[in-house]
Amino acid sequence: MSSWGTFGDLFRNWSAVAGMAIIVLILVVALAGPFLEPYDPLLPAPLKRLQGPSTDHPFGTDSLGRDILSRVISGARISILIGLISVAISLLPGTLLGLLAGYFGRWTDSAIMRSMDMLMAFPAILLAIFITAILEPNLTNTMIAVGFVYIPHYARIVRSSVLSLKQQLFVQAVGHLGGSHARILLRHVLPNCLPPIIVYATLGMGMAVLQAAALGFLGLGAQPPTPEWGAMLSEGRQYIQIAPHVAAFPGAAILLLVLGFNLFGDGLRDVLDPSLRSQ
Amino acid sequence: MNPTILRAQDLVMHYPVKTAGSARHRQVVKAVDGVSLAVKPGEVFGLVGESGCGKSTLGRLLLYIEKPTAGRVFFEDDDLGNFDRRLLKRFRREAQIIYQDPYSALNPRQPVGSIIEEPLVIHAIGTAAERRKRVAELLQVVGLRPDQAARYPHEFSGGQRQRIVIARALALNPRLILADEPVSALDVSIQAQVINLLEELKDRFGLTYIFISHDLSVVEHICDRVAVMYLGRLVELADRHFFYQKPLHPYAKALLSAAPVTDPHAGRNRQILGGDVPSPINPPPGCTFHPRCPRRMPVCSKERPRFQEVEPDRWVACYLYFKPTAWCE
Amino acid sequence: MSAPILDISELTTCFATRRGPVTAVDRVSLTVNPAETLGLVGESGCGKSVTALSVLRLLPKPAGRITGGQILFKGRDIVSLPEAKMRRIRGNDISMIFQEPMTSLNPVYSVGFQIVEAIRRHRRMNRHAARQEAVRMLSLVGIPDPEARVDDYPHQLSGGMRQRVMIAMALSCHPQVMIADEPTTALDVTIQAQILDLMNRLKAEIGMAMMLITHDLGVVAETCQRVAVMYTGRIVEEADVGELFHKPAHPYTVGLFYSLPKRGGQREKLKPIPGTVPSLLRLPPGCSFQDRCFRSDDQCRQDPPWAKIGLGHWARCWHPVE
Repeated sequence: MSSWGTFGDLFRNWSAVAGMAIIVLILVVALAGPFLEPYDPLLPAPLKRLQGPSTDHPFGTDSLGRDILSRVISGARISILIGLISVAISLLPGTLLGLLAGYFGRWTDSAIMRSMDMLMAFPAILLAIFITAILEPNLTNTMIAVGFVYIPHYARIVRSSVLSLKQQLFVQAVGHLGGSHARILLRHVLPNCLPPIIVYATLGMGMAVLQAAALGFLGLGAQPPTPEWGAMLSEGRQYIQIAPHVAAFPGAAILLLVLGFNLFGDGLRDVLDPSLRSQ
Repeated sequence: MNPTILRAQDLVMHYPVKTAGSARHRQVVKAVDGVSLAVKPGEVFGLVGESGCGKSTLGRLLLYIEKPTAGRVFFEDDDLGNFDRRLLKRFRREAQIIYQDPYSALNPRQPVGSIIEEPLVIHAIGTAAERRKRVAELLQVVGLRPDQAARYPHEFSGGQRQRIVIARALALNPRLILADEPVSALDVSIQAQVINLLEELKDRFGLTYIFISHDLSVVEHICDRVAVMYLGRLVELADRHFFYQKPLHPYAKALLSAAPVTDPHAGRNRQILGGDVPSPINPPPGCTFHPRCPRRMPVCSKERPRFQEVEPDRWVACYLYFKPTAWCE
Repeated sequence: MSAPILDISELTTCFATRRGPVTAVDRVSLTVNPAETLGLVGESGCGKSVTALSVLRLLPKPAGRITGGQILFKGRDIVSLPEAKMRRIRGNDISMIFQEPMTSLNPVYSVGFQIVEAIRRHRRMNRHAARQEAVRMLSLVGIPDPEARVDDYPHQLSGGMRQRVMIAMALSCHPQVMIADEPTTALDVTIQAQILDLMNRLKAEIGMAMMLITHDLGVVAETCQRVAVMYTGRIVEEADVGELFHKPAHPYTVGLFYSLPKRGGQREKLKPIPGTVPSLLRLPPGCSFQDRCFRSDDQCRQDPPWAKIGLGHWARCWHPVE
């Protein structure tokens, strides 16, 4: 597996292309959001409560009469932000810990990986609840919580890449030439660890969105009136019998975004590193 | 000129085996079990043996890439064990390595010019422009074109990649090169090209090689002296002519007779060595070769034969050629 | 002289790759006679392994396909045989051993189990009898203490032992042809000597025919009666072993011999073949060796004919070496 000349392959992989299409669509919606929203997503209109989909309100209105389409559009920005920031919060410390554990081994490895094991032993959702309960429940803390929960996963992936890279002669060669550990780690080990990190990060964005939605569903995530899709799902739960559209549309949006990330991530993995194709 | 460029004294390398259980039962891999040798400047010193004999480990110890469990290595007159990090880094400029596997020896994400340049960068030699010039020079020296410096390793064949490995090893102008099975992974016709290149480079730059290989024909062709290893110990060391004409140690004899000869009409009068190579975790007592030796004597299982000079510049560790010390007691 | 047991003529195998179809085996014709070893020699990528896989119809699907020629096993063409019938031949009448004994043996089953499995696939035997047979095979291939070794797992055995187990498995159904693909390349030289000696003995004892694939000319000299040299998917020279080693005719074969360091020789500089093997996607027209050949000229741009060099000795060349 060599340099980055695999972009052509990416476009030939239907999964990656489909995923990219969905993500780009949602990205565009997110970025153009304020211009696309037909109504103010936060403005209640008590007279129009729980109206079904119509030409005026293609997605209907919610319990406070707000236009669901506008709220879904507005929520796209939030969800993508959640994906990006949560993944960043997991990826950076996780990668660093994985690099150190894999490269230096022995005590460093044991210390780091045992703490990662402890972290992973908690069900992600419980841990996230715990964190948001300690800090106050709001969107920022949701992202921190979700990010924190996935740190061990990146540490593991990176550590495993590092362990196999350590066996490669070119990594040993830098040391034989007189290179320092820092040089080896930053210029030789890390760049070769990137494919699995990238793949996992892409799939991880989908997972982060789901986790944030779950937290939002439990009322621990973004607080009303923020139009976060999970929170919207939660609101809609009460009305599922009489006004299913309130939950259905945000739910579908979550599904679509996560699907997009998963398809793209799968395609990316097939192109970058078919050896990861395990589960 | 110093009579030896590199000298090893009683080198030992023991690796603990990770097994569950109490410390009392912890086992040790005796990868290198007491090796002493001296390499002369300008020579090609061959080190042969089969898998598990410890030759690669010995190579790493000789260049102090790993610290031996016991024993010393002298580069010219300096004990490498006394070198701090700075001095060891300086030593790396004098002694370099060529590896067996040209496919994993180069970073797939680094352009070839950068790979060759890296040793110069690590040691802060020259300006960027000077380094670029040197890279172009080195590429030409190994038979590649300077305009290929921007390409990536996967664009080159196995033989070409090995040339890049060689170019990188030469970048710092080393005096000594450890070649660890440098041609084993290459096809026959490419092997010949690389062997010729190594010989040219040795003559051109006055290099000394420590040449590790399992291929006796290649060793016979390129080496001046040959040392044979078995289970972590040297069993014979001799000038190439004498070794190939008349090996002394029974293992060396078996090795030479086992290697297939490219002559269908050569007598199939081969000495087939029975049994398998025992594990370096529990080597047999006394002479490690005695269980498979067709000439073994009772003393061979009791006392380990010393590695002794039995003729001028001819060393053997075998009681067929000298008496055990126990007899004198 | 009896009829050849394996008669391959004009075999052509193609692979579909991203960059277009590649002809890995190009109109190859070979014969293997009973109780004889045919050596198939060439460097990596020349198509010798693919030839073996083609005979046993073990090509990776869907990329690899036999696109032409016929393979007669005891007079019957097996290229077009339905898979069910082919399975009865594979491992039974024609068996194969591979280069890496560790990856060819299943690490989670004992070696005895694997041999028994092979036996019971093709012969009607109950488990007890099959196990006895497995022990007998292990002893035949020279494994000491076979009654105990039969329950060992592959990782408990050394490389040489594992290769012997592979040979035992391959022999367990008394095949008439054994195809050995680089059987000793991964082994130490003293173990290689043991295995080659074993294979020679077995061939003499049970009269089996063998196709030995290797890049090592020394191994060929020790074990083969006839040799075929392959380059870029084509046979370029074929001869009895003595003839080939003393009077090689095709410039590629000559070049190979010049590339080898000679034992017991003066230190002459090696004369390697210049350049590298061309990619199968970009072969020159006519003779694929012409760009590296010291005897080539314009005529070589046409497909070279088979030139008769001596009795049973042929070279596909316009200008064979005298």
